[in-house]
Amino acid sequence: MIELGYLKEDWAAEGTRKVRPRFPAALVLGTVGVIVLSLLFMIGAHFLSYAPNDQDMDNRLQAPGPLHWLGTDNYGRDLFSRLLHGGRIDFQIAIIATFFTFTIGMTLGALAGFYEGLLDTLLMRVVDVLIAFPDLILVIVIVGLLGQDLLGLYIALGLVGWVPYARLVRAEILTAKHRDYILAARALGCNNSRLLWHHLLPHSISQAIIYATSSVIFNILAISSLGYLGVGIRPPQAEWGAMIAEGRSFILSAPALVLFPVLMLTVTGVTFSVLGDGLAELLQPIRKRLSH
Amino acid sequence: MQPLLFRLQYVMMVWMILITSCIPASSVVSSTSAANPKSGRRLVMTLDLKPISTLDPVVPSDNSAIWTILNLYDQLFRVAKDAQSVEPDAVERYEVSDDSLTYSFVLRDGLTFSDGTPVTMDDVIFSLQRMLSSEHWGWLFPEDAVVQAVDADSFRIRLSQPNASLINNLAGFWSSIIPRESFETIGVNFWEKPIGSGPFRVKEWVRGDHITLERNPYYWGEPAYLDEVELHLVTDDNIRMLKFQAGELDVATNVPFNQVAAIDALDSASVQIAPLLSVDFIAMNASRPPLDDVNVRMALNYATDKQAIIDAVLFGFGEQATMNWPKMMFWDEQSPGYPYNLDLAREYLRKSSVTNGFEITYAYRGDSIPDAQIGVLLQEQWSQIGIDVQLEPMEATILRERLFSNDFDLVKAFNSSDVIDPSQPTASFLCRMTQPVMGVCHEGIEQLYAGSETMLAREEREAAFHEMMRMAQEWAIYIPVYYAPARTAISDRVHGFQVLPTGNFRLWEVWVEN
Amino acid sequence: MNSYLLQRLLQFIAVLLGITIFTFCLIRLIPGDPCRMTHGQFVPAEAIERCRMKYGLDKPILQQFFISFGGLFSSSSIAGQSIVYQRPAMSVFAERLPATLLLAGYSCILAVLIALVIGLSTAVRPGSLFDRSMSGATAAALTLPSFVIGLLLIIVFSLKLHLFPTSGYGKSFWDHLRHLFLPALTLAISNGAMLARVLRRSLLNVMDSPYILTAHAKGVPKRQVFVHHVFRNSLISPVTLLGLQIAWLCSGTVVVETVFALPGLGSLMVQSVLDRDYPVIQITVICFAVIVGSTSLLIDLIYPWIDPRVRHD
Repeated sequence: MIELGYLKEDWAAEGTRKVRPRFPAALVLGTVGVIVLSLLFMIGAHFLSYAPNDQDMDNRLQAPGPLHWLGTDNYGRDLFSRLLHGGRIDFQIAIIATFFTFTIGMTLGALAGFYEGLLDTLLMRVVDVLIAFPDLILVIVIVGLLGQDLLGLYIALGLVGWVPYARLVRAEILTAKHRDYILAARALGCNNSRLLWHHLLPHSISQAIIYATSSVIFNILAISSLGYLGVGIRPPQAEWGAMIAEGRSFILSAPALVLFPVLMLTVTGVTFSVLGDGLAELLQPIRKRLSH
Repeated sequence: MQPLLFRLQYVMMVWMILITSCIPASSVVSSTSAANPKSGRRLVMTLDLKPISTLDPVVPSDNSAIWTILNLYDQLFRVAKDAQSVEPDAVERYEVSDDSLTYSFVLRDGLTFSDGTPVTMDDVIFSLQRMLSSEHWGWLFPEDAVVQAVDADSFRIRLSQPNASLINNLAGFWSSIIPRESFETIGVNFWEKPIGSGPFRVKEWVRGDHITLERNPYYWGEPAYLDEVELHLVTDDNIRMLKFQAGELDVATNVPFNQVAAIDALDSASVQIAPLLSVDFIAMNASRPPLDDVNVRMALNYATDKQAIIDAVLFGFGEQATMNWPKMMFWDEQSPGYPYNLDLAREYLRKSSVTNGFEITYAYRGDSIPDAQIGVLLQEQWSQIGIDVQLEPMEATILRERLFSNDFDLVKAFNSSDVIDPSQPTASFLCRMTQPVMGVCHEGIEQLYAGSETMLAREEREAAFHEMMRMAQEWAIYIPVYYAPARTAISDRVHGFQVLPTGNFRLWEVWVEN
Repeated sequence: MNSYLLQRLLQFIAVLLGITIFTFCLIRLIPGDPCRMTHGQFVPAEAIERCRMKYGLDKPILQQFFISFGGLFSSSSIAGQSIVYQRPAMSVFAERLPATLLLAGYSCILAVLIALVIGLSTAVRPGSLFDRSMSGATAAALTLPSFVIGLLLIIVFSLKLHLFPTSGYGKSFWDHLRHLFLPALTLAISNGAMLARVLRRSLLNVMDSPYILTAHAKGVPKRQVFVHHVFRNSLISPVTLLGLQIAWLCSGTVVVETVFALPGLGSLMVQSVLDRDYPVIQITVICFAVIVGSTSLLIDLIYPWIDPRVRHD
């Protein structure tokens, strides 16, 4: 099978200078970042002097200092310890929830966009029914039914989270399948399945990947919003979203309680974003134009 | 010459007497400050944390509606500012027959609705009958109570049995007087802009955002000082406090405990800490092992360090609760409560059927930060006697559902009273509540309560309540935690604003300077 | 095209029916009912029972469905009345609608502006320092919780600079626009950042296409290439995302509404679910379905205009 497509061939080398390294810098940076954070949360948590749930009422709401590097919260619990332990849970949530919603959404969206017809109609109407529900409502209902532990939250987030991926991938495939290289591949005898998964999909998921890297954070923030409404993770579990929700009432008097988890979220989020940008570049490299 | 002078002095004396007797009482006496109350101006403040459900006085149970209703309508009686007695409001005076079965009320003169029409006896009877047949609040009154008009100024309530709490219970927002004719003509839209005879009337209502009240020019009593009051809904604690500090609000309700000190320290404002008729407590499911053993329940009570909870959750602004009654009429100061004592707790555990520690679930409203904090603190405190507390946050509706279907170990709960009579919170010890909730009943309290309802003599009733409280103390089905006060941020320009123990405030006594 | 429209309309009605049934089942599955919560804690059981009978909550489930379905059409009946507010559910919904629509529209415009500015400026210099830092900035903007953004905007623009009101909805139309700017901006920052990233990626993908290079080779002016070919053809994904965001803006803004004290549909939705106010939930979800379905239809109709190869037949 002759490989067509932009991954391997350079069809117009004249006049442009390609910048397409084997592995884009963003990908390297992102991967390194994710690995560092994972190590920090998985292993670093063991080297702490304070357990995340140990209360110390005499030392509540302390500012950062030598004893407590990031200070303490309103129960006297060490913030640094809670951040690291929370990171473990949140990484888990981020990766698992995002991975499942991405895969399900991508598959359904690709099938709908490629085959169109009844499958597409059915899927899009199901999507319409699901979107008609505010995500938060659906999550509240599911959590109300399943209880407020991690499994219930995963299922709830999963049930509502696949829709954007399906929509984005479907949209890209709808246009991409009319491109010349696809017509050429068809003429050469490629069957539908190979056409879809081998040729179309890699070029159509860059948007979904971009979205996925941001939705990693959305899932964590969703848990924080749920916490504010009273249906989040059970205390005293250290988790960034829960820490933000709990710390919200202290934002004016002791902003560190919210600021540090938010900072962690930002660092994690940007790391995943960079990773996503790198992945997208790997799949569809950009070219630096000479005269632009 | 002399007779003329004498006459002049006489005339002047008469003139002086006439003038001083015409000065309205308000400009002579001001209970809260030395400055004179000034009429006019607008007050901007916040309501409670949920939007007003409805202004129909016989329906709501949310504070936003209740506080507004109390300023819009006249009730038969109203709660005195110290919540130790009731004052006549629309009723001028009343008497009780010798057999205590007939109450005769005389309506005040000059009661006028905000559209200028006078309040008639027909309106009063209509409103009271709506109240008695209301599914929300009618249960406070004997089922067979009969309301009858006697003449244009007086009416009667006839009972089949003496009822000690009748007058107290008539001092609630549900006894508001509404105009029958207007209500029946306009129909259900009447509540968009209801007509009442109280000190204020509705000027504008943007639901979910704010309601503006203006002075009712036809009010029978002292006209309100304020021209207008704007009551806003600002749910977010931080925004509400920021708005207050920025001067956008004159009064801000529900100051978060952790910000009380900071706001009180501001130059131009202070935080009013007002006692409330409420108690925060934990309900124990006394039909579920190991909580069915009274020794275990006692142990949990004594193992709770309430002062530590008050310091952590309320930042010191609260009082330890000795029993599951708010500090109101007939509250027993001598009641020992369950002072924190770990050794005593361990002793009770030893006496009990429990050998090692056990696991127990503490269910609470997930959106209530204090409730969550209490749970986290209890985890720590009770771990010292070997009890492992699991926290279970849930939606308020689901929580209440679980409570009333006996499906819980521990539930964080809250008792408050809209009236000064302790009969409302006492219900939490009566069979009709404890049976569905916990599957237990206390015969002694049941009988004593039934009897107390007919005791019209104060000392007798007080003794009965004290005995009930003693029985409840031994029964120990609840863990009383604290009495939390109302915290209201008030700008120094505002005078006369006072939160009553029933939680409401009398806007007609408030004035703003400058 | 007409048969396509007809098909979609029929499907739309089917979807609405599906949603009605789905909502009904879902909401009644969770424990709790409205009668318990609209009465005080000490109300005797008989009163709650009477409430349940009044609203038909003791009837068999199928009968309840038909009653609630009927309630959708006649707002004066018991089944069409909000249990919490004691008024027709339709009017409870209708008075919250303007604030949400205004906020959604406002926020959409701001988000699109942000996306265009950032997306276009980074796509024309890919790989540059500007591009990389904007990537980081948009990624960071997406990680901030909306109440943090909202609070920061209030503190800076409202309390310190006195440019906008702190919270609330305002009284007249222009007042609304002033009050809604900060909340609209709060939402637009996250939505716009996401849109910008998707737009940038789209533009870069399209710029690589053979027909673009052909156009350049043919001597078509750069600007014309960009506007007529590159930009237009890269709109598929951003427009798709915008459609999704519009749906979110109508229903998922409860946190922003709470922070800025806006009487919107997001908080009405959440509160009615928590209160189990069945008629209001039913009406709100149906109306959302109408809004979302129309947006979805509109977007699908726009696709062929953007990319003529996508045809509906």
